[in-house]
Amino acid sequence: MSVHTIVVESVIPLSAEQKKDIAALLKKKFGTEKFVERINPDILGGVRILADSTQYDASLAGKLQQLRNL
Amino acid sequence: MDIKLDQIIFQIINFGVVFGALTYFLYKPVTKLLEERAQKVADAEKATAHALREKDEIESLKGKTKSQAEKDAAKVLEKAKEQAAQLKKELEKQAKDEIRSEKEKAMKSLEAEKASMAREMQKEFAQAVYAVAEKLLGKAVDKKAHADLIDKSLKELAKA
Repeated sequence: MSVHTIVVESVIPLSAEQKKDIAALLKKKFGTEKFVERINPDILGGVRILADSTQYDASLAGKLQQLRNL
Repeated sequence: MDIKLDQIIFQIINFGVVFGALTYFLYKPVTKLLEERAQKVADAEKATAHALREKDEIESLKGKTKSQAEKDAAKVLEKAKEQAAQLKKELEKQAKDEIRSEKEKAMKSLEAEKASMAREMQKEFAQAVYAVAEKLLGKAVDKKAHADLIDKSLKELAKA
């Protein structure tokens, strides 16, 4: 699966270890380790990965939204 | 006593004339009358016998017709009873089906209402949780907790 841009959102800046883990994860899923880090307080906690039109949401805001949508 | 031939001949002729006249004028009409009467009696007997036979036939036919009519009436009555029983069964079944259908409808409506109420409650609860969590996370969560949340999220994504 080839993607142009991968954005990883979090509330606070990612640590080196976390960046390493994310790179490994992206390599496994998209075949690339490159990503853009973005701070987004709206996600409340956790991370959200945006790869072109695909979204992997493991943020607290996403979970709360799921709960809200029940 | 003298036997005179001419007188004998005269008597013979006289007797013959009288005999002929009687035969012609009396015997034949009477005989004819008697034959006609006998014929009439025979005809009347025949007519009577015929009438009696007809009467017997009519009686027999009447009996058969009555018997057949009774049988037909019994059959019609039996059929009407069967139809009435069948109709009763059908009406009962129809009524039961309608009651069951109405009951099912009511149950479905009730279930739908319950589900709707549950969804509404869940939604309201989720909104309340969301509002509380939003406020708490906005103010109270520190960097360490955020880092832990990120690690946890990464583990989830790795599993997905």
